[in-house]
Amino acid sequence: MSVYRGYLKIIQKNIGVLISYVAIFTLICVMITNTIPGRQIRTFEPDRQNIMAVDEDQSAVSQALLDCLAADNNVTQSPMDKERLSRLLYSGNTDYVLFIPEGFGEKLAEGDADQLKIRSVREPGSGAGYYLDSVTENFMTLVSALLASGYSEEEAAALAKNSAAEKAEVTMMQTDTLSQSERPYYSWLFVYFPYLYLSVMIYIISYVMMPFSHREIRSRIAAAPVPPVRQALQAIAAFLQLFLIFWAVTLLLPLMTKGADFYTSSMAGWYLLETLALLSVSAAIGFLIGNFVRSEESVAALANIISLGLCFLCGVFVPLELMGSGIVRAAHFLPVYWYETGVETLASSTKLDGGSISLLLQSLAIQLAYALAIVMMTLFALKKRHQTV
Amino acid sequence: MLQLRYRFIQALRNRSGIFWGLFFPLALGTLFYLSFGGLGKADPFEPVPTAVVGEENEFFTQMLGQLDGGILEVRQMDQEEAVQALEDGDVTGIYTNAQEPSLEVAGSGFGETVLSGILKEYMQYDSVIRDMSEKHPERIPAFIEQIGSDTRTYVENTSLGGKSFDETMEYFFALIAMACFFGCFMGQRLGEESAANISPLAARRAVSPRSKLLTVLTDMFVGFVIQFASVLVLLFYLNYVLQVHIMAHFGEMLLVAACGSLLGVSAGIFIGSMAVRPGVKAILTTAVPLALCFMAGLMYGNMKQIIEAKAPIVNRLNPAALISDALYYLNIYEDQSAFMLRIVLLAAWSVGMAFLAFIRLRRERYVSI
Amino acid sequence: MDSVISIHNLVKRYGGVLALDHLDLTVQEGEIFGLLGPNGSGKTTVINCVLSLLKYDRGEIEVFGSPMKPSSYESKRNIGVVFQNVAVFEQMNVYENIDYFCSLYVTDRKMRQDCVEEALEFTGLSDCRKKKPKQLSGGLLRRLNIACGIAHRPKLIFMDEPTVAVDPQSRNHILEGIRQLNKNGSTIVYTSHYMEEVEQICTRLAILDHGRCIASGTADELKSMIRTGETVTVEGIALDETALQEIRAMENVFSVTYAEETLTIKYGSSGNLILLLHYLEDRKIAFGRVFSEKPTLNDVFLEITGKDLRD
Repeated sequence: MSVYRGYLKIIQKNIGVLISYVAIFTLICVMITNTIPGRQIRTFEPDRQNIMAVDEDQSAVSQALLDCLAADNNVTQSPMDKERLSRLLYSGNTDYVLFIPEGFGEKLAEGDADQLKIRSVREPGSGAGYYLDSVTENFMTLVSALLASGYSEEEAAALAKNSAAEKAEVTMMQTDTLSQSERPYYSWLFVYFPYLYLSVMIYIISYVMMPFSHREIRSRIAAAPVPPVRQALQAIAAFLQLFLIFWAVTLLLPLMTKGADFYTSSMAGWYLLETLALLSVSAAIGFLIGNFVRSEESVAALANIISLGLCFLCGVFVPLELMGSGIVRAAHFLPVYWYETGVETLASSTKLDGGSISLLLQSLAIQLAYALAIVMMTLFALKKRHQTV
Repeated sequence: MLQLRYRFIQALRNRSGIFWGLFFPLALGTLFYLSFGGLGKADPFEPVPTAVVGEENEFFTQMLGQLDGGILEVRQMDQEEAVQALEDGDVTGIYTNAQEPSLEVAGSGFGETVLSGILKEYMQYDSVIRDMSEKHPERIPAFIEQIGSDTRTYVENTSLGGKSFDETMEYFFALIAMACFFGCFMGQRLGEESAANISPLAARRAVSPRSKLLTVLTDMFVGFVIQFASVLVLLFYLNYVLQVHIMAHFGEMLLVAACGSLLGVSAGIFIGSMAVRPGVKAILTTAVPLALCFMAGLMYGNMKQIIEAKAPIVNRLNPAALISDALYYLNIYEDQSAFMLRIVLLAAWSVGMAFLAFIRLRRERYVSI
Repeated sequence: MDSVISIHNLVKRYGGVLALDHLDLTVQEGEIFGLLGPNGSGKTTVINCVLSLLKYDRGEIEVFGSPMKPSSYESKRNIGVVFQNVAVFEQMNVYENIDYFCSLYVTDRKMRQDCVEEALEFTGLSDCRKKKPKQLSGGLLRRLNIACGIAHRPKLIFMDEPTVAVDPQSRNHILEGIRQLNKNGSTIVYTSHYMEEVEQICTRLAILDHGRCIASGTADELKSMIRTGETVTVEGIALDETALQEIRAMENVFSVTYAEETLTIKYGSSGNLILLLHYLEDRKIAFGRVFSEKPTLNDVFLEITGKDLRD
């Protein structure tokens, strides 16, 4: 058990540095999760956008338009300040800016709105902007038609505004599938776990194992009457305690990310299994790197390449449905992809049917297979190295 | 000159410094490019797939017909089919096309909002016509004719001076910031080779008759030039090979790259000359820049915007956010004053850090070696 | 002879620990001056203070007749240092390393090339000029370390434990090289805790302990300072109390120790072995090995401090 004790001693000596790594990556993970707006409702509510309106017309028509928009969105009036408005758009505080030029209502009443248009600025890359453009267009089409059919400006505006108070009858189907905005908030945390697990596992395992990779120390240990496989297994035993503590800590994170309902969820057990599978994959990768890396710089390089690379390619930071099909196909060969699939299944279901369960079991099995394969590969390589040391 | 030449050789042969400062950002940039391949180029607005059951209401049918192919993708189905499609997520909602049309959805998102908005529009028209038929029924034909024939557009989409932008650009801006920061690896080695209390190599250099001032300036110059060149390579690679257009104003881009590189290298020199455990140095040179770049949007593109909304002072102090912001204002919103503010803050950081590094290295005698 | 280094009343503290305790030392031109002492005695600290790498609390240091400061570039131009830890660039090959460090001292290109070739020849590294430090054995690496420190033909050379962890062949090469450098006119300050080495090559030496110079002079002078003139050791001998008393009473004997069948006698002069052998023969006392040793520097250290040099 001497190898086991040796590892424990090294872990103890480096505990400060190890805790720092855990803290930094945990902070990143928690910060990402806490930025995601969460709703967990089962009734329908339309998405409210933040609209800044520059109304230089101040006519009955312009007021009616803004009132119509305000029924389903948050409308704030503002004077014209290009810099301030662009900053609000850029920072995401505002989704949409509307400029109603002076005299617009009058021109519209005269049937002469071709020359004078409402100008809108959409948040770059926003689909909601397109939609708000069409809402505004439709409202103006309605007002135009009212004016054309003989109503005065004020009458048309009043009528259009009153009609905007109509409510659409929308019912919500009760399904077992949850949409993006309905999924439990804690599920987002689990989506980002691969970055945390991979980074931490590679750093701490490599850091602890690095002293053992020096040739002189390896030679000394190789001369000891402990077979290399047993040495590796003793190392695994030592690390197991570390892993379990780390795993337990990560399972407390839902408390920091508005996800306290995780602990009473019926899916909690499956989430635990998924995280254990992810932990085993991450630990296996860390074990592989830790046995062969020589310097701290190499550890940092590999940790970043592997964690960032796997996370980007497997849909952790960018949803898979937004990535190229070639990449998604390639991702099937990576273990993190299967973890993400498992978590997605859990996040979007209120209860699990046969299909979901088999998908989850598949995800778990593949991850564990990867972990085992990587460990076997490492042990084989260690044995080879032992023969040539 | 020979000293300078040798220092360049020593720095360029520092594999770790070159890897982090040059190759890692190139690799990550390529990874971003592969990952985001489908993003940003497509139309940001995808038609919302909708099932329609029944055809009772002519007006509603007409309305949906006009929207089909634009904002909607209409699929006529029977009730059973529609329910199944909704459950499977193939459609976002089901319109029941009756005298009083209704909508059934399975979630609460953007697509559902669009569908409810369209239904509401119909209700608006319906309400207007009901009112008209009560008070001015003679106006109804003109109203309907106008609705049907009005092809005017009332809304013109414009910008506040910015170009079109896809969200993935934030990742690339954060990547450039990271590339600047990773000059700290190069700097760390330079610092270790110059602080006599850190390495015997530095002690050997220190006992030579070469002026310490000259030695320090040479080291900082070498580190800066190499890192600056690495960032330029990255910029050219992104712009001309990956076709991520980020070099709108070349002169200002050089300024951003220069300030960022100086900051990264100086921070590295400062860290390298610290008498702390290697593990602590590793945290300072990898995890801290990563955390700063994360807050500037490296892993989650919107992070910087969220911080801007909640605590903008953080973005003014975070040098990675300053670099990313400066690039944004150069390439997208072209806001000169916003850019100048960022550049000034960044320059302050760079010069401050360079000064600190210089002061540390200038030391000639140590309390302990 | 002029003094090349003059240290007066040097005091250096590391926090609460007094590393150098009012140290006085002089090194004359043309000497190989040895600094001997156990680990922690202050040898490296003295050198670092003289080289102006370390701040010290009190005292004066002069090198080549001028006060030594970080900006004493003229003095530094004539100083070479071989540090205890190998101080070379991993990324550069042997030639480049020597050339780089030489260039810090010698600006003329032709002269520098000659210096580098000479240093390669001198340290026996000519065949390894293209190799990187990683490819060199421990001994060759040490030689590279030396080459980098002496390539510029300095008048004063500091060598801080240059033969640590070095194979015997390289060690002899290094010691021979040091003698040659001295013959060529360099003054050498040599630190070590291997007293045999110091005795072998140093012309004068000083013994340090706890930051103080407890003795200085030539090896013979130091040995003559102590009582011990000869040490005789007899192994495999069985003695009773009477015999021990008789041996203790013998002429010139001032110390007798007997343990585990080994008898150790210290005499105040030399040439006492014959008498002892006669005594043992007369008493018909059987014994195993016998050997006689002249006093060593360890004996000097032991008598002055009560500890072994290797402690």
